[in-house]
Amino acid sequence: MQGWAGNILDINLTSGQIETVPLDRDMARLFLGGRGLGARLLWDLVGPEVEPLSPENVLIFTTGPITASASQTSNRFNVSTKSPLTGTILHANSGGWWGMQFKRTGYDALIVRGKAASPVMIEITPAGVAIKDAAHLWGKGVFETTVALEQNRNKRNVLCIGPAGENRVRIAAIMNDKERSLARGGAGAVMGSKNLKAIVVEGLEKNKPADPDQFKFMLYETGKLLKASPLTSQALPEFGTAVVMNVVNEIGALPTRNFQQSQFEGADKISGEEITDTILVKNQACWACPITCTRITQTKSGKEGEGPEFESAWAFGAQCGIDDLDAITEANYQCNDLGLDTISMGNTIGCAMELAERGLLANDLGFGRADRLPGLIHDTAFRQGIGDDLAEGSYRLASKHGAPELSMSVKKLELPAYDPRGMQGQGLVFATGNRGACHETGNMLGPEVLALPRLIDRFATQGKAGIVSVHQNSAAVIDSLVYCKFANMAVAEEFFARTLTAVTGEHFTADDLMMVGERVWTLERLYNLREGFSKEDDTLPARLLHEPVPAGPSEGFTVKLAPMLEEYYAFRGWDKNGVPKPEKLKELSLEFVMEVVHD
Amino acid sequence: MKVKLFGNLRQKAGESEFVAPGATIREALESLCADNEPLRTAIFAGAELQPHVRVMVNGRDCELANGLATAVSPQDTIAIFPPIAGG
Amino acid sequence: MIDQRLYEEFRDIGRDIFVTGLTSSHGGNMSVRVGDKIIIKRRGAQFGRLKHSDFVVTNFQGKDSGIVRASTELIVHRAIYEKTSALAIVHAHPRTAIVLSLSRDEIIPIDNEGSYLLRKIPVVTVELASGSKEMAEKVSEALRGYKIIMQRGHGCFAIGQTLEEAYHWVSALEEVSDIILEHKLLGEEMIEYRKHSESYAKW
Repeated sequence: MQGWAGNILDINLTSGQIETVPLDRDMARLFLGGRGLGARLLWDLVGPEVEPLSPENVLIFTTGPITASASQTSNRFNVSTKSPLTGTILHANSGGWWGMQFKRTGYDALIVRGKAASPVMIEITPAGVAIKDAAHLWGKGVFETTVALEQNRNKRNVLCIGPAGENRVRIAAIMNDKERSLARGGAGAVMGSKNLKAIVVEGLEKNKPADPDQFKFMLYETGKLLKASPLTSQALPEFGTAVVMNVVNEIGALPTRNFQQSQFEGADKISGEEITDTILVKNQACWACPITCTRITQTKSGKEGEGPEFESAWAFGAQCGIDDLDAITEANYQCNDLGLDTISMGNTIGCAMELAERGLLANDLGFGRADRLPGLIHDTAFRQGIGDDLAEGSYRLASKHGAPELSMSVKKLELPAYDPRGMQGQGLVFATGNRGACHETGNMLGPEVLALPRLIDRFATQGKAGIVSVHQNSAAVIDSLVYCKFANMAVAEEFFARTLTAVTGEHFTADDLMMVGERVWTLERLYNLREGFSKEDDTLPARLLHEPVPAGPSEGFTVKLAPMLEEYYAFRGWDKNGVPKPEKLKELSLEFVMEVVHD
Repeated sequence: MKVKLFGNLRQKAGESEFVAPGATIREALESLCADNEPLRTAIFAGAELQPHVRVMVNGRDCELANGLATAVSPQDTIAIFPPIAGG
Repeated sequence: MIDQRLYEEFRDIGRDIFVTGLTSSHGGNMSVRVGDKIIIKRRGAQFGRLKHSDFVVTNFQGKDSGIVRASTELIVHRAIYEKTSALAIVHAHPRTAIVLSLSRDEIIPIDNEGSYLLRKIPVVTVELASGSKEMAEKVSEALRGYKIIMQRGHGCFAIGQTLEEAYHWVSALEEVSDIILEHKLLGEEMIEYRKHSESYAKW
């Protein structure tokens, strides 16, 4: 195959039917693959009448035209579905090896429909595609399941859920290659609701470039850039993602104790530097990646595993007022084994801590209680005791206990490790995120803190809309190609475009790619509008809009969302209610949605 | 004033925190790098900061103030970050 | 009146562009995109001495009072913002790049920095060279694939997320061009030192 395999595998777990359908080439050119293709297919397959945990929801696993080509970081893949946590469109993205291997089975995408009568797994190998009984695996953790299904790094790869997904925990993740995750939004619960325990892949096909000489040149140039950038060649391999813990804290944007403060006195103890100094065993790379940012770590008790990443260290750290790195790391391992999104889990526990301290939750839980983490995480995965409430996510938890405003979430997706009162543009990103408060879809950490590509004033609001929009579009196309966003720290879209051209033989410019990104972003927006979301949902927790930061460099600030939002809708060619205008839909070849939004 | 170092600057400096004299950021950094060539080359490219090195005063990036010429006083805290990235 | 910070950016970059000889006193122009508006240098303003009143805020499309005072090349800027993800545009008249553009269809760097940053700068030809529809179309189309391009005999258009980024490409282009010209004047055979350099032409 050159770029696209041209095939979609379509499996119905209710009927047991397995089909191969051709990939529409026009659709492929417009949406590429990954998140874009997933959104386009989801638009057709899952409408507003579908309950996320019902058999009518689908799981769409997608790769992109450059997946498995051996272009740097061409290992990532995507899952698309309707989220049981937010009710919005959901896309989630993971690395490792599974995506590469799935592409090598000769498919661009896998659609899973319906629900099996009892626990099953799907196996895709050179021998064919089979749905097999998985009752013996149901109830087992991710680690045990991965070993039992004979995970073998470059040859045979396991994707599975843990008990959290099986128990339809709304913040359950889908895991692959043991500790990589399709984490946010509860895709694990959707998989569990289908009685699908695992998908194992073994492939033999290769994604060979249409223009091998040009491909080789691009490989060389891209490698040169990755090596030349201190971000990808030193910072990430040496310290991992948690290296930003200290800088985000230093500027006063590290959410602490459920966003009550924006600096954490224990930040250095849970930072990338501390991880490297104390618990790091070695670093590790995903397939075809020279950046090597994964942490392999070991705690004092001898437990070993991957991580914690920045977000996970924050979620169980500053968010919960905990500075015990060992406890945080083991909480991370535990989430990986049970199949839970660490951001939502940690954020929700922090929410529970505040509820308890305010007397709204009958529990002796409080900030700093590292000893409570293992029990709470376990109970969440098995829906026991208070875990049954935590399993619903912070919004439903806080609402049940009379204080929905104490849930730090947007569209019910828990906020990650940035206090937008210290980074106004990030506030706009969280408020307008299509899957909720998400930092992966346009992170302003670069421009507002790290001066990537250039420094902009993090407290300014004018002019943020353009940069946010461009970053959102860029993230969307990177998620559709599918590349790793860390490659984008050194390599611009003009490189991705030329590599894509070399692989597929079809001509793409940098702005063709940015247009794909804009198209995907807009379609996701339209999906949510069709679901009944509106401009009212483009907002932030009341605390961030009305409670000034009490101390530190960001003291006194709240998020000035309204003017940024107005500029944003105007920049994107949407009307004052945040609905894409007809001219914009035509420009993006999205006419097919027209009657949904414009009568 | 207090000068905090992060990332790989800590190994180069031997410590993560210093007290340094100076009326401007430049003076404070110069005094820090006085007998430490590896630290100097990590922070400076000639007379300017190495690309992607960030210097903050009380949590505010000096690029948005007066750069290396930004005035500092004894109560201020300077933080120096080498090139870093994350998510 | 535009935002003070934005004005200072325009002013400082404008001065650097003029002082380093990248344009004559009143030539060239710059703009940024904010929301659904464009902020552009007005017609007849001096690049090296920009004042607050030298900027015009105008709409993306359609006629408004702004276009009367805006640069004659507003139509080109609009087309670029429509067709690309640019948030800032710098248009200058770098002399050596212009000289090179007279006799080639692309400028290919021979120096290390230029190769690394730009790889190739295409040259487009436009008959009606100032503020025509043809110019708007050709230039904006070319910028979909490159961050800086040359218009034969006229000057360069560079795009970026910030003015500084766009300016960086302009400055780099003139350095690239000076080195090519001086190498030619020297008349010595080049010893190729870059791997895969033959591929830059296909960039």
